[in-house]
Amino acid sequence: MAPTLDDVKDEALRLIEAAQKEGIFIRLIGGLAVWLHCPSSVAGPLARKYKDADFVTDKEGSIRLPDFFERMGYVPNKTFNTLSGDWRQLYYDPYHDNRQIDIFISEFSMCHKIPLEGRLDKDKLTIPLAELFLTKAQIIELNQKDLIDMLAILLDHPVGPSDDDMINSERIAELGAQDWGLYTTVNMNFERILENLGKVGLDQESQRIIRNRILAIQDAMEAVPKPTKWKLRAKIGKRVRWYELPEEVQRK
Amino acid sequence: MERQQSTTLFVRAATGLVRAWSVTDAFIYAFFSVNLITLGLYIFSQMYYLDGNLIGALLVSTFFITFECLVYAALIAVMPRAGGDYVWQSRILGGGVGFILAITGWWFILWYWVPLYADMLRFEVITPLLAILGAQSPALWFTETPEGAFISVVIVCAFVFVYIAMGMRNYARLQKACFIGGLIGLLLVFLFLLFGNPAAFKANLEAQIPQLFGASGDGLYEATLAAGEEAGTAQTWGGGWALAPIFLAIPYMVFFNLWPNWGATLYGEVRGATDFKRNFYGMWYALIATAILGIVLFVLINKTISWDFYMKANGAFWNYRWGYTETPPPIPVWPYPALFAVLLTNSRVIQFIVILLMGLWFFGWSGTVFLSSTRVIFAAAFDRLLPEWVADIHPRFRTPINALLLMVIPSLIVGALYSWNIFNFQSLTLCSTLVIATTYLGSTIAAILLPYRKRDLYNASPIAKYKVGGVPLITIAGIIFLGFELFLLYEWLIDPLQLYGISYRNISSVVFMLAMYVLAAVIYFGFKTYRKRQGIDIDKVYEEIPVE
Repeated sequence: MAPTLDDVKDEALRLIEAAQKEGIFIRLIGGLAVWLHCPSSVAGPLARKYKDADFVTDKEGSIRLPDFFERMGYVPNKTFNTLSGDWRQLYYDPYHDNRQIDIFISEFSMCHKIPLEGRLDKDKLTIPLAELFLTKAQIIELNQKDLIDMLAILLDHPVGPSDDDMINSERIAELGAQDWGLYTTVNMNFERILENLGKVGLDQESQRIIRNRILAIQDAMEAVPKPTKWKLRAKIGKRVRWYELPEEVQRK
Repeated sequence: MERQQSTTLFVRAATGLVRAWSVTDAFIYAFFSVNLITLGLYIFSQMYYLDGNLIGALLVSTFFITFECLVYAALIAVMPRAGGDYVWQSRILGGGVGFILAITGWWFILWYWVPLYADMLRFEVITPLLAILGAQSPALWFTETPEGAFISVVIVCAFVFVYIAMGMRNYARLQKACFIGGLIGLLLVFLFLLFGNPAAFKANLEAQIPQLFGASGDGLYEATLAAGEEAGTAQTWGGGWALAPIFLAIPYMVFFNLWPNWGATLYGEVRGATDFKRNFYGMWYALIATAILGIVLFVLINKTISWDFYMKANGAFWNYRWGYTETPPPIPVWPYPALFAVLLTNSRVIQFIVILLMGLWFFGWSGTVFLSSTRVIFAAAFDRLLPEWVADIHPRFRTPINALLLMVIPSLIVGALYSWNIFNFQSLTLCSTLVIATTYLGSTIAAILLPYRKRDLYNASPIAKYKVGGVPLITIAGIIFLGFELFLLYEWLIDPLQLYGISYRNISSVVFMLAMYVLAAVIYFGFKTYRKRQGIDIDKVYEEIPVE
C-alpha cells in the first residue's frame, strides 16, 4: 500500500500533522491553504481542483525536511535541492504520478518577495491570511486559479487590523509601503479582480462584499506613509521593470 | 508562458521558479572573472620582458574573446544547466571527452589557481595593509617567505569556503558589495594618478617606501630603473604596435581576460538563461568594461608613475623572484599600482582605506576559484561518474562540504609545492590557463558541431534563428574562436621563441598536466566500469539532457 494518500488535500494534512508531531515547522501556502481557510472554495463557483501542495518552513525546518519527506514516502529532486535547497526544495510523490511538493524557506519569492520570518506562527496550519492573499496578489501573470483563490479569501474574510481570521490590512499596507513594486502589482491585480468579478458566477451580494473589501485594503495601503526610497522608485514608475517573472523549468 | 484568450489572465502549468541569480549578478561574476586588478595587474607585471604593446594586446585579445562570449552565450541558451562545459561536451561530443576535459579544466587545475590567488592576496592586500599599519616585518614576511605564501593559500581556502557556504543568494549580495566598493577604490586610485605628477611620485616613493618596508630611500627610483634594465625589461610606452609582438603578448595576456564565460557552469541558477542576447551581453559588457578600465589605468600609470618605471619595477621584482638574479629588487614588494598611487598622499588613514577598498577586487572575486568548479563536480556526480556523496550538502550549513574538500585538500598540497617551489612549480603560471583553454577548446568544438549532431535540440532552441549566410552563428563564432585557441595552444606548447615557460621543454609542466589528464581518465573509465557492474550504462545517461 502506498504510504501517501490519494487526495492531495488529505495528504497535505497528513504531512502537517506528522511534521508537527516531530516538531518540524511547516505551514501550507497556495491553493490548499486557501481551501483550508475558505468555505466558498469547497463548493460553488469558487471551488477548484488541487494538483499539488506548497509549504513554507523556517531555516531549521529546511534542515530536517529531506529526511522527513523521505520517511513520508517522497523522492527529492536531488539536482534542484543540491543547488537551491537553502531557499527552495522540491519533492515528488512516486505513488501518485510524481505529484509535486514545493517548499519555500522563510521567504516567498516569486514575482515579488514576501518576507515570512516572524510571521509563520500566526496560524497553526497555514501562513497568515494577509500573506496568503499577497502570495496570489503579487503574481504578474495571474491565471484563473489565482483569481478564484483571491476571490475566495476576500469573500470569506473581513478586512481588519489583525491576523485573527481576518485579512490584516495593516500588514499588507506595511509590505506595500516597503516595496513600490509589490504595491503596484497588488493594485494592478485589484483592477483585474474587478474586471473579472462578474465573470465567475458570484451573486451580486458576494460581488459587493468583495468590492468593499478591496476598497478597504486599498485605503489602508494609501494611508500608510511611504519612505523616500519608495517615492523615488514611484517617480521612475513602470518604465523600469518592477517584478521578476518566474520561469517554468523542467524538473523531472 | 502562453497568454489566454482573456486580456487579463494567463495560463501557467505549475508553480514557477525565480532562480537565485539575476543577469546583473552574472555580469558582476563575469566582470570579476576577468579581474583587472588581481589577474590583470598580476600578469601585466610578469610581461615586462615582452615588447608587444599591452594596449594593442588587450584590444586584439578582446576582439577574439568576443567570439568566445558568442559561443558560450549560445551553448548556455541551448542547455542552461549546472555544470556547463561538462554537460555540453558530454552530450555533444561524448562522455569520455566531456568528463576528462571538464574535470581537468574545472576541477584539477583549480588546485594550481589557489596559490596564484594567494599570491595576489598577499601582494595586493595583506602586505600593503600590514605595512600601512606599521607592521613592517609581518608585511615583508608574507611577501618574501614560503611560509607567508602558504599561509596566504590557507587564508584563501578558508575565505572561499565560507563565501561559497553562504549560498548563491548571499554570494551575490557580497559580490555586489565588493563590486561597488572596489569600483570606488579604483576611482580613488584613478584620481590620485590623474592629479599626481611624476616628480611628486618619485619624491614620495623615495620618502615612503623606506618608511613602509625599510628599503633604502636614496636613489631608490634610479636603482629600480637600473635593476629593471638589467632584468631585460622590453616594455615601452607607445612601442610594440606591430602585429607580431602584439600576438606574442596575447598568450600571456589571456591569463587574465579569457574568462568572461567563467560563470558558464552556473547558468542553471541564472534567471532568463535561455535568452541568448542577455547571456552574451552579460559576458561581453564585462569584457569590454574591463578592457576600457585597463586602458584608462595604463594611461594614468604612464602619466604619473611612468610606464618605463612601472615595467622596470616589475622586471626587477620578477627577475629576483624567478631566480635569475641574487640581488633583491630595490623595492622589496610587488609593484602594485594602487600602492604607488596612494604614496601620493602622506595620510596613512587614506592609504589604508583605498588599499582596503581595492582589496574588495580580491574578496569579491575570490569565490570564483571554487564556485564554478563545484557545479561541474555536482553535474558529474548526478551523472554517476563520481560517487553520490560528492554532491552531498551539509544539512545545517548548506555547504557542498565534500565537493569543497575535494578542491581544498589538493589545493593545500599544490599550494605547498608552489610556496616552496618544489619541482619548479612557480614556473607553471600559464599551465593554469592552458588546461582551462583546452577545456574551452572542447566546448568550442561542441558548439561548432551542435547544429549538426543535435539537430532537434538546436532547431528547438532560441539560437536557431541566428545565422550568417545560412550558416549557424554558433558554428561561425566557434570556428573563429577555435582558430584563436589553436594559436594559443601552439604558442604555449611549442613556444618556438621560448617566451612562456610551459612548453614541452619544461618537464615539470608536461608531467603536471599529463598527470591531471591521466587521473581524469582513470576516474572516468574506473567509474564507468563500476557502474556497469551495478547495471548502469553511463553511455545511456549521456544520451539524455540532465534535468534542471
